[in-house]
Amino acid sequence: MLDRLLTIDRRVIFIIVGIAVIFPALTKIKFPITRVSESTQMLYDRIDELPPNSAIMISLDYGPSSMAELQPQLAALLHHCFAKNLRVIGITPVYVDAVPLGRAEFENIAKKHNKQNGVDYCYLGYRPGFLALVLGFGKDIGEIYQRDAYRTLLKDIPLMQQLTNYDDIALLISLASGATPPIWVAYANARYNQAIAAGVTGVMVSDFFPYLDSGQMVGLLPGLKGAAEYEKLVQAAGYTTESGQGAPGMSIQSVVHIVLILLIVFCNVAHFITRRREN
Amino acid sequence: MRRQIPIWICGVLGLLLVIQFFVPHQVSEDFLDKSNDWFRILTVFAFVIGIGSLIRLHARRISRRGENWRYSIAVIAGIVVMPLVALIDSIKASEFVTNGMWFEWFYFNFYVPLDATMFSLLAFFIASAAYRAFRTRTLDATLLLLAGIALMIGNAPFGNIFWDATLGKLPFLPNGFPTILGDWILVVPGMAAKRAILIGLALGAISQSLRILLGLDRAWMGG
Repeated sequence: MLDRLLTIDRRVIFIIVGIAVIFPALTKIKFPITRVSESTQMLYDRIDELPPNSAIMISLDYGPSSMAELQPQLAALLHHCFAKNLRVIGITPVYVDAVPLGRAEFENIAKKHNKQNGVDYCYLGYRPGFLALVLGFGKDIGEIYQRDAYRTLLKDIPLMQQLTNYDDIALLISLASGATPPIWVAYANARYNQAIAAGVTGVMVSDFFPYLDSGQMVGLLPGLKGAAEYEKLVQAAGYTTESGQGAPGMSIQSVVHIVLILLIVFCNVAHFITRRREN
Repeated sequence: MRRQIPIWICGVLGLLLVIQFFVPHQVSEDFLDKSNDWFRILTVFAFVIGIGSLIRLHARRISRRGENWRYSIAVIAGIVVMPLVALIDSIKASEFVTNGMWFEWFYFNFYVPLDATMFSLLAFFIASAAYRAFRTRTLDATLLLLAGIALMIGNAPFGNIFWDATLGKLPFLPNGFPTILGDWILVVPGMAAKRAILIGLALGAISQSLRILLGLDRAWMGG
């Protein structure tokens, strides 16, 4: 009997995990965030300390496959920036398929804060040649992007008339599902002294702690957890009353983690009993 | 000659760009600007070659009824349909648009759910793999298991809620201990290991780059 449980059909596990995802999503079980990670707090503090009208550039280095974790981060960051009257520039230099994702989120959050495209924020979209873009921004953003994602010429956008290169960007945040943050660090930070922060998927967060520790990054959002923590900070400060997608996602993740831990414990108990019997 | 010229271009330009990084002179900056322009132009050509190769590969598979040829129809359909709807939007708007109604409808109702689903499948495979792999067979496996469980408890909010309602009430134990423990695993032993890996990777990348620039490694030219 125990042997059969140890070699259980993987489809049974798929069904259990499926139920663990669907059940809390339907019943709206809530596990509130009670503690904020240091790396999330660092990014929040950094943005919170910026004077109004400072420019923040958000690079959407992810596609729809990772949007479940990174889109809530983007939404929480935009709420914070717009509430603080910071000017935000959005770019998608790696994944051309992320352009509509970012554009929709920028429009959605900006509308809630009565922010105007071209004045308070600008969404530049995609340009090929990531490395050339990272280096080119050190000289002139207008040389890389002649038009924004709405096909408006940059020279006709009031916000972009005031920004030339990295010198005018207070902070660059890379929301990434791949290895782009180290490239921003290696070229934009090391060469042009641009302050860099990152928001990454949970599975790759451990890759970036060395950059945070060395001061090459000023903040780091760890996956969906980072998004939920940032939402909590932004809501606590009164910058938005809207509940984002991070906290509900973490509640679902909590249930899945409980189920996974129970499965692992159960499997180990069965394994232990079987081994003792064999001995 | 067909092999020698690309090797020389790669070697000379590569070494010049390495030197350029350390020379803050106007000539050096101009050279970097020109290189960036060329890099962007070449990237666009790479797109054309990539799309062309993809279409040729899948068209051939369909015509020959090769393995899984039906999936190739889906690939070709995707390549054709998305530009087509963007074109229809542009014709309707009488100018080139990338945020037209049809394009966005297809993007948000087909592309986004399909792409997100592919990635989400990972959760199911990870759960199945964890059930089979996380067993206390050896000391190493036990350490991996304990670190994994500590991170799972520390990352999800239920860990802190449960802790604060039980053991966290004791005066000598801190609140939010699961998150503190999870962060410690990531920031102390995890980061130490990651630093070692990063240093090793960097040294490997430097030596491999030198081999390519000096023409010793020619695998990038197709062997």
